[in-house]
Amino acid sequence: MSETFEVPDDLLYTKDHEWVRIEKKIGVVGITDYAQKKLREVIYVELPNVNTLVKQKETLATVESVKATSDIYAPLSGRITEVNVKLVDTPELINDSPYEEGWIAKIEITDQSELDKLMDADEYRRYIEALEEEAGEGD
Amino acid sequence: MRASPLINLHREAGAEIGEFAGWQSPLWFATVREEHQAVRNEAGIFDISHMTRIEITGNEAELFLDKLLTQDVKKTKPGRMKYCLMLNEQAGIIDDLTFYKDSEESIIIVSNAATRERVVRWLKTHSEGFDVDVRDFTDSSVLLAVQGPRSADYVGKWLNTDLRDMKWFSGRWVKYRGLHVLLTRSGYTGEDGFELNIRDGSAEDFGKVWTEFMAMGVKPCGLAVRDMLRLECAYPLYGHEMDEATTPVEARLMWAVKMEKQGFIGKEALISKSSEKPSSLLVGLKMVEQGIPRGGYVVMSREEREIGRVTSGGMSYSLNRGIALAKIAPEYADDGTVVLVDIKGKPRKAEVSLRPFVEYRIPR
Repeated sequence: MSETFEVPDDLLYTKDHEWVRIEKKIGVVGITDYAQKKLREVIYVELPNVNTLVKQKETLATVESVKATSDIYAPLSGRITEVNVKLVDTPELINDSPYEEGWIAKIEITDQSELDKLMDADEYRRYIEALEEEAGEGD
Repeated sequence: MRASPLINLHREAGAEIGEFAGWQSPLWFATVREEHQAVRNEAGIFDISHMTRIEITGNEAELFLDKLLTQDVKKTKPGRMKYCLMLNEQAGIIDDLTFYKDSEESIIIVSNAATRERVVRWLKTHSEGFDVDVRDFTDSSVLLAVQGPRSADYVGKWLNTDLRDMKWFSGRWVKYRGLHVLLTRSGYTGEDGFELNIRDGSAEDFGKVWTEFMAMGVKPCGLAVRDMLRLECAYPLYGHEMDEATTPVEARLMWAVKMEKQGFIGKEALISKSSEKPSSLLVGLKMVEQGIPRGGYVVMSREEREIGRVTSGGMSYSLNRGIALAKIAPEYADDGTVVLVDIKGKPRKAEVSLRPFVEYRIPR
């Protein structure tokens, strides 16, 4: 039984399964469909404070699921302009709608060159395929 | 690893299977959230066949158990069930359990999975000199729990009987298609509910019962939600909130100990310890700040001095916040005291709670 994972074309991705949607000077951040499917049911999300400055690859948020606790890393550096407060009462939005209603935070882009370090949709698809093959070898 | 006779049925239903106390067990069937809603608002069914079932029979069954258990077995009326403890000589808790008194000569114990060998050995060792027979019938039976505000409707419909007047913690034998079912009105979720102790059938017979409840619309539930539900009630779980190094005083379980009863194992030690100050007390913790407390996390005073440890913790879907049980220094164990839980290096405020986190809704 192989699972399929949604990977929208218009987003950028990290190796830790965060996605970024560029909306002018803002990067909207969340976790991918692959990540939410691996985590299973999300029971709690710890959000950062608005106006906090984060650096690329630093912990941005924590997501706890029935399976594991995972740190979510900032895919880019900058000031947090908004967080998705809906996740406080309905963390399951990350499972139900990882790319839309389940977004986690918005970060003001400060360094455009950081975006070059992220994967595009095709690269990310190949990356998770490789991970799946690796995981499947044990069976 | 051990498994319920229903394990293949659960697997076919797509349940996530995990290990609990050496048993392959269904952790969830759908999502924990849906299962939680079913039990709090409607009804859910649990396969709790990992629990140990032991039958004590013989002329001296009451006398024997009155020596080993903390409740008064002799004074318990036939047809009633009680929660109590089994203590060692130092008043440490060997197990917490329920017994159902079928008659003076026949008593059924339901105890924990993790303590099975210890409890059976303890019973057998102490049965020498008593006219009793100790029989562990866990492997030839299943134990199912139907829990939720509508459980009396569903179990009543299944048996074609009106169960609304059945008393809480009472039981009766019912025959169902040739199966002997010990039906008790009881549970571990804080909701109304029934437990079905079904003996001497085939895996297929047991499976039919499970499937019939599902066909009626009772939601299959796993052990993950069971743990959340019991934590919301602040019910202790053996191996977490208590063990052989914990006394009933420390676990706040003295309500389950009949001190006026003559000569039960652990009584002397309890008397001599009653003048000592307990080293810790079991309390509930409700997070005031963000974070989910987990077993093993350090509890601190507001001055960040360590005062104890979390024994069980998790998310409560009823409260939408983190809750826990913890053993902490007695001077902090008052209702409403603000303490800190070290959640991965971040001290987070929590409030001591000596009440269940959700209201019990069991029939009285």
